[in-house]
Amino acid sequence: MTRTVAIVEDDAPIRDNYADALRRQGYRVLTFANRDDAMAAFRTRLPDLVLLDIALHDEIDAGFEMCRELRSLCSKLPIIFLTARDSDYDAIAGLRLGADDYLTKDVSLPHISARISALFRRVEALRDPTDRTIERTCGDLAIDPDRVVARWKDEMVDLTLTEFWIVNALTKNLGHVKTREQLMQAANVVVDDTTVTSHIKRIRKKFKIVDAGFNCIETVYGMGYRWT
Amino acid sequence: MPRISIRVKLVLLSVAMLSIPYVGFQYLRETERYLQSSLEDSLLAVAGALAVSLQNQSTLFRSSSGEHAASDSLFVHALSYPIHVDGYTDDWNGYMEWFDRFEGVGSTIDSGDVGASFDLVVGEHGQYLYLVVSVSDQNRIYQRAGSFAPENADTVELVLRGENEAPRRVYLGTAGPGPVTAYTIVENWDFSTARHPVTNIVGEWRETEDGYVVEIRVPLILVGSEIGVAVHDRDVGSDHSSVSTGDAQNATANNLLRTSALLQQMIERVGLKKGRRVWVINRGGQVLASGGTLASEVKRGAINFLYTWILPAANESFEDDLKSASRLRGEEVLRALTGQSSTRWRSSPDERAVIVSAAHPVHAGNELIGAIVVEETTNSIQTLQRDAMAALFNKSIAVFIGISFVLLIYASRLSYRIAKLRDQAESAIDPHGRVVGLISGSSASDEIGDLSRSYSEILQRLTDYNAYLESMASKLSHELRTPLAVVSSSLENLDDLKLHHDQERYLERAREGMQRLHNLVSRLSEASRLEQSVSNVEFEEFDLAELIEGCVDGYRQAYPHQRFDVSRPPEICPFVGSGDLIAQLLDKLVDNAIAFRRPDTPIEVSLLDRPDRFELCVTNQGEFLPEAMQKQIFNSMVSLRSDRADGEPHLGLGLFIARLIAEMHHGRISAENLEDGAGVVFRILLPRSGLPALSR
Repeated sequence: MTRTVAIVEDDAPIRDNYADALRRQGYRVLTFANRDDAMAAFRTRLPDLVLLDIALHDEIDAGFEMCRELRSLCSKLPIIFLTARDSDYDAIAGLRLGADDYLTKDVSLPHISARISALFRRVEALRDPTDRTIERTCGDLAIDPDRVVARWKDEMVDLTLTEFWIVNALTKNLGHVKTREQLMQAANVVVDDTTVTSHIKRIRKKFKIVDAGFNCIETVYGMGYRWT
Repeated sequence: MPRISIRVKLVLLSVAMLSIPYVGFQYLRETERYLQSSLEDSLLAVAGALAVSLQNQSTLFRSSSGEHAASDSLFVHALSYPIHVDGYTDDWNGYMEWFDRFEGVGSTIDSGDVGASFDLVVGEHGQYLYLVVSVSDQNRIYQRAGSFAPENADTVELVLRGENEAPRRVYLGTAGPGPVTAYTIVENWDFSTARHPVTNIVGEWRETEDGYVVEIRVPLILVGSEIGVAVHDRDVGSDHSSVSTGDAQNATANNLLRTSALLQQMIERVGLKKGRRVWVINRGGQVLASGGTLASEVKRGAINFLYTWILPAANESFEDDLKSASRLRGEEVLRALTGQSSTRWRSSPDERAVIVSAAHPVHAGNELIGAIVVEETTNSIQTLQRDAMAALFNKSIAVFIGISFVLLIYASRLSYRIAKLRDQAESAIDPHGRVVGLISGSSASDEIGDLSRSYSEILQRLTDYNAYLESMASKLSHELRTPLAVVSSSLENLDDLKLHHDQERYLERAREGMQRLHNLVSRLSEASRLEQSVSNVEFEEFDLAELIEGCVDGYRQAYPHQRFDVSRPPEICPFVGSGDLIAQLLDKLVDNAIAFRRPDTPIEVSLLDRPDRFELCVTNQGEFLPEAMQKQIFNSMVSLRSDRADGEPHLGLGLFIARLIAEMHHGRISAENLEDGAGVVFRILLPRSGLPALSR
């Protein structure tokens, strides 16, 4: 079954480049230059995944608005923000609106497609929760790398893809300190140290929602992080 | 130059007001001249009026006999007390100076003696006429016994002429100093002469240095209205000369000139102003009558000694040179006696007062019969002037104090406003040159208000500009990201097309360039993201010393060939803040230190535990920091790094970020050269107390 990926992006060269790359991956790609066209099409038929730019032409928050509308149409639809904005504030706002990931535009095409396929895997897994194949446990943490799902004390932790991959990398060789560079590579993002720091911070928070006593991620100053 | 505040300057300027009393003083001087001339005029007018009233009263100007020339009259002083006849002139005090001098003519010169001369003063009191005859004579020759002829010894001769009598000669000669007896010489029948004493004439003979003095008392009955005085001077050998007030040979007597009671009455009737004196004189300048006194009562207010020093008080106790004068000889008098009225200014002998006198001639028909002299001191002018000056000074001092006070208040207000503006301006910009506050423009409509408003505007613009500069990096990175994404996604698409080997090579280079651009863009946005993330930073307590050790361990791994020296306090250093940010700060400083260190020198990281703060120092040896740059290097986009071939872009944001982090923790960052000039130390002061700023 060919999956449909919708790209909403006002910059034509980027849009076409992404569309081309995704088509080569075997996806069906719909491209939209503005919010109205996109929403009209989505109301008729929802795609399987949406790549959203936040600023569309003059509407600086169009992506956020669309995200909210799409979430009201379908709560399970995977949404990835892909934007030139790199501030923590925007990232938090986007993720709070229910997006599954938030990427800056300097992410590479292979990284995007890796994310897209991972998201689809996760959707699959959620659709069919009984099918638990390979699951790695690490203390109270259970990780399913294929389906991109993490559980803490048997409760689902609502991690974004990036966050999941960071947790995954941290727990691979227990006791080893993971540098920020290692974590970035694992998460398929090219960002700076502070972004990793804020990701770690968000991960801790998400675990604390599930378990207030969570303190497994240790900061090793000057080096990186360690899962204990 | 010493600092002089506006307040002091304005007060100094107000000193210029002290010129007001000076100008006033000059004006008073002018007034004085005017007053003097008006005084002169009024005196002349009084003299003129009196002269007119005495016009044609020629009888008043003549003695009763009237047959002698007025100039020959002998002035009789009205003595206010009886004279003790003792040969001493002390009791003639005040009259002696009004002597008349008589000098002999045709005296024998060959004797070696100067011609005989004598001074005469005449006065009367009660029933007596008193005379002082002061003779200058080198050779005093006294009468020998039996010899009484006036030719033979020094003798004083009086010519007395009682009422309706023939003149009578009376001689006073003596054998030695002491009381002298007066005698007349009677011719006997045999032509011999005999002495006949006149007992009611008393005389006393006393020697003086240059002659002798004879004091004589004559009853007025013997005198009548005329008297003549002659001195016979017998010298060595047979020389003999005589001097007389009149004609000695003919035994003429002189008129006795007394102040005229009638004139006196007339003058007094005129009703003279106090302080004015009037003289009526005859043609010879002899005083016929006088009235009034020069002394006037001056009202004396309490006047500051300062004014007395500037302008001495009018003195009423001056010495009067014309007191009991018998003859006026002043210039104005002489002119008046030639028919011209005139005035004269003179000082009293003791220089304590200035006296103005005006003289006016009196005519009888065409004949000049005398003159009127009116005198007054300038004391009244002086008093007036002093009062005016005191008033002027008092008022101007009051005005001066008033204006100074107002100026002082004004200046204080002015300097307060300026100082306030200065303080505001100083506190508006921090040592790093960043605008930290704005001046609220004053609403005052004057220049200082303008200044304050324009300061406020300048600061606003500067803030905008700074904000623009600081946001430029993030804007730039944001704007660059989209075209970068176009290029990089295009390159990646190309990748998939399986290009020719040669093409692949160029693609690889393009990718390398892209990677560098990516790094650049993420560094650009780092600072702005840091600022944005501050609101999300969570502060927690951690051990600063441990953090630093951990970080340095990390650096040792990252830079295996670099030596790091760490010094830390042995105990734990609990600090509330963001460990991640502090680590990031240290990263930036160490990165900077490595870039500037001299090769193969260690980098020193030290933490000092001070009572109220932690001091974190990163020291490297190497190039030192230009003095002017020590504060600027912490600003955005300021870099001292020369282009190095390490391929890493340097945007001058590292130390800016370090500063942001230090400030977030209420700390301060500074860079100094080491004292020996061998390197640079970056010092961060992190206050222990007080929570870090949660937002800026």
